[in-house]
Amino acid sequence: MRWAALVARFAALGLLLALLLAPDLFKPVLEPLTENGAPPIYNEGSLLDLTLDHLALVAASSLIAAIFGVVMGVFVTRPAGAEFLPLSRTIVNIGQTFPPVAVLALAVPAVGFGVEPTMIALVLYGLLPIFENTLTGLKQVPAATLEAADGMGMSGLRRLISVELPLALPVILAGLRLSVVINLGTATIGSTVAAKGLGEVIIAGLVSSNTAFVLQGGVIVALLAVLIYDALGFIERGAARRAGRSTP
Amino acid sequence: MIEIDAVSRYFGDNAAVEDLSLSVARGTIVTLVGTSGSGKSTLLRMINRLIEPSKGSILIDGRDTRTVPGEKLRRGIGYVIQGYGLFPHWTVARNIATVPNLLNWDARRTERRVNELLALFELDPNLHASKFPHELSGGQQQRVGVARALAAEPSLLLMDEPFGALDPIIRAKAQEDLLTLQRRLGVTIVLVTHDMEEAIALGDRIAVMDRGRLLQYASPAEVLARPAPGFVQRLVGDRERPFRLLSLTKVAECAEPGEAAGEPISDQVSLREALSDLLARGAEALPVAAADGSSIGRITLSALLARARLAA
Repeated sequence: MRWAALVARFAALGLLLALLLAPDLFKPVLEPLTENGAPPIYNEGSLLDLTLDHLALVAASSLIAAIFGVVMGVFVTRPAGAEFLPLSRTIVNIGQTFPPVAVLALAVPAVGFGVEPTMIALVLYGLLPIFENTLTGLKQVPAATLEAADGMGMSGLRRLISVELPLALPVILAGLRLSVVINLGTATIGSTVAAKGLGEVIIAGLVSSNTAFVLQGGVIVALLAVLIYDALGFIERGAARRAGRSTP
Repeated sequence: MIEIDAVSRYFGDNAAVEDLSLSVARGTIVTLVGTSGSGKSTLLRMINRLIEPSKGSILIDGRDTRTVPGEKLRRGIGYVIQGYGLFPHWTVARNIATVPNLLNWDARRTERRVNELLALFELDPNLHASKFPHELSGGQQQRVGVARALAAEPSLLLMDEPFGALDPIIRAKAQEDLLTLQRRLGVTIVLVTHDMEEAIALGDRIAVMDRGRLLQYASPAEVLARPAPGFVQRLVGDRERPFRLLSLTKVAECAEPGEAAGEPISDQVSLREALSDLLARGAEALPVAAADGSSIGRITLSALLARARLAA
């Protein structure tokens, strides 16, 4: 079973690298999907560059969402911030409910075309899983552990940094993982407002009715999502082990 | 020495502890016993200011606890809770080093102290220091919890149901170890329990609490011989009283000169155990031997009857 999972991982990685570095290999497969002699391989830019732009966009927006989500989660679980919990929940939930396309439509008039509106949409969209998981992670730290920390004479900050956050880390990372994967897919719509990314390939295919382009863009995004999800899961299990929980 | 002076604590309109005064002599064990909701844990937590008293004052060695910042106060007082609250992401050694690290001890001093404590609690430093709490048995976790509380050599140890999660056999051993340790280190211990048996076994004095009030504060023998009417009487349990009274005295104090047949019993066991032996063997008397094997007389059933009747 383990062995099979390893093979699947390498196969996915191999396929991704081949699609990015040697796309011409796939000409025979994609050719039948095109009509009227349209090019089967995306030719309006380097797929590798677009992928790197896409990843940078997702990484930056996830980082910002993570900082906001964790700081908010920590704040509302402190005695001083407890009364802001319902308000923060509402804001974060609106961020998730509001469709990213609508956010784009509202953000473009305010900040113009390009990366900025996309970042706003992705940060808002990715906030919820991180915020909620930070809350869950902090709340599931056993009461006895917290009481011991207080009883030993730890200050609130010390308790947060050396006990609560390390113990909540696996759950926070699970939220981050979810957020990253959601945004990998969502980031494709950024191309509608001229943010560089893999959405360009898909949109180019859609406007010229070229299924081969759509397929290329879609498969690359999907493979990225699967591989990154897997890699973050690996880190998460490491954190869980360090948090002293016996995971199978 | 702890002096609790007219302390009350209110949660909303409810008094968890009301106008309670109590003093604990240095180097003794006081057990706070009562049912859940009696306010015993609240009282304990007011000593290290995890809960602030609403009224009254608490003095430790003559100093009002309110004059010391809470965190600093707590670093100087050992604290053991039910479930131990070991930090699951830290090794045993790091758990024990919690307070020394908070006090910024240098690494070598901390390490020496950790190894000393591991040895004291019968944990092999090479084997256990680098383990994580979930890799330990319940009894080992409990010992690490106490070791952690004693790491910075506090003169006062607060314990809230420290043996509550242990099975009976390990619990008896842990209680015995605590007594030995306390005699050796001379620390003052305030221990909360709901178990009268435990309160009698461990306490130099027992404070019986109910609904936030102190009903009786006396030595185990006094509580058994003359329980305050009402709640204390019920808690002591009339049927159990003679046995509990016998359990307070060692055979050595009740042995009389003379001969008896059969396998001798140790002079260090309690009269209760002696009674059990007598009953089991169907004997009127048994010889008593000191630890070195020398005979110091005999213990008789009639002597035990006299001892137990005194109480009733």
